[in-house]
Amino acid sequence: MLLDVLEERLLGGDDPIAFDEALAVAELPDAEVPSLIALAHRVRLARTGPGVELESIISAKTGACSEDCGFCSQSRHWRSPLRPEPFIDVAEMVAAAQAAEKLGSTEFCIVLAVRGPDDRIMQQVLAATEALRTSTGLRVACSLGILTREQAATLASAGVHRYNHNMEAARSFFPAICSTHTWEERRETCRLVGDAGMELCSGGIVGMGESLRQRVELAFELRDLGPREVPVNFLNPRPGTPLQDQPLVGALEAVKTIALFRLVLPGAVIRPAGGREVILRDLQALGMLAGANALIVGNYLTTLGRAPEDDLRMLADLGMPIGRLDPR
Amino acid sequence: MTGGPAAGLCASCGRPLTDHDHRRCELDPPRICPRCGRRMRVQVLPVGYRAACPVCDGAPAGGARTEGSNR
Repeated sequence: MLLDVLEERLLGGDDPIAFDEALAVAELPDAEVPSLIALAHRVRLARTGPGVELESIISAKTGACSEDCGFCSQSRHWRSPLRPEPFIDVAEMVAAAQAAEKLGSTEFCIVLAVRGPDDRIMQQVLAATEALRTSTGLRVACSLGILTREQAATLASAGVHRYNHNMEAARSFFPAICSTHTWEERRETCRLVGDAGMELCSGGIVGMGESLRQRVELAFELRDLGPREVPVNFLNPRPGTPLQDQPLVGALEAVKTIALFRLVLPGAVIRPAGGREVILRDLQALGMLAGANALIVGNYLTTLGRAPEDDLRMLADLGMPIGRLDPR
Repeated sequence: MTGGPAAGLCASCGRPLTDHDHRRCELDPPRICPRCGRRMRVQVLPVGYRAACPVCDGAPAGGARTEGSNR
């Protein structure tokens, strides 16, 4: 009944899902998941079309981060097997981007483990952006942490197309996972990104111990920010971090969460991201049918992904063409 | 895994092989040098990765340098 009502409203026009309705979706029993998938897929097709945007990412500066995000192996606060690495050689980054472009990626995101960029990092990122823009046809995205207004404007002027700054968790849950900066500081950077004219990419991590209500809160808080892209990460507990023994989210629950985000953010680029291999396992295609229209192809920042050819074959089997997705 | 200082430890997470389920470590590049047990320099790339021990790499007996693809 709920899904029938939502279908009529969400496909019918500008009548967005309400918080209590989204919470009811999050609480649907597993038996209802096929119907939820069907609805999310129809909403996705109606609002964004059949295309899938592929992105590749690279850790351009790894580890030794000053922040204490409890999920992250790159924080210097935790004893992790990960060894810090300085800024990657630009030639190696360009070669990696060219390899990603050959796979079909249209976005390439430069990611640094920092609270925010200092002047030296800004210069390194600007040089890398220029090299990528002249050597590839990829759109360049960045994820450099907390920005000043001037830094956001500089990145936009340099041709950075999209900026990633995940809210990570609902406002009510964020203090449980990070104490070195606030949720409000993250939101401010997201606003600066939009003000500067870059597309905002902001999502979160599912499975850090939040309640279903807090998961829905995150989706609505993101909706208020109006991101072009919403990465939906699933916690893959990292050794040495405070969340290393956190139980994994179930595969069907993950599929349900993707669908939930589609219903709350019907026109966004919804990208199942880190952790999908561990959480969705054999249900990758169901994740795509549950409203996703993007993937990170290849490896992540510090962990490995699915073999790219497996994802490409899956998308071909699903009849989902890959390419750029521009706002409708 | 060899009989070196890192024997009995997972090459990816560094925890003992006997007290943890390491199936998920298949999605991690090697991070612990199998010869000396030190943390390796690792760069994960969209396609593949490279890993090298800052101590053993280049040693006369051959270093712990690896390059890998996605699984």
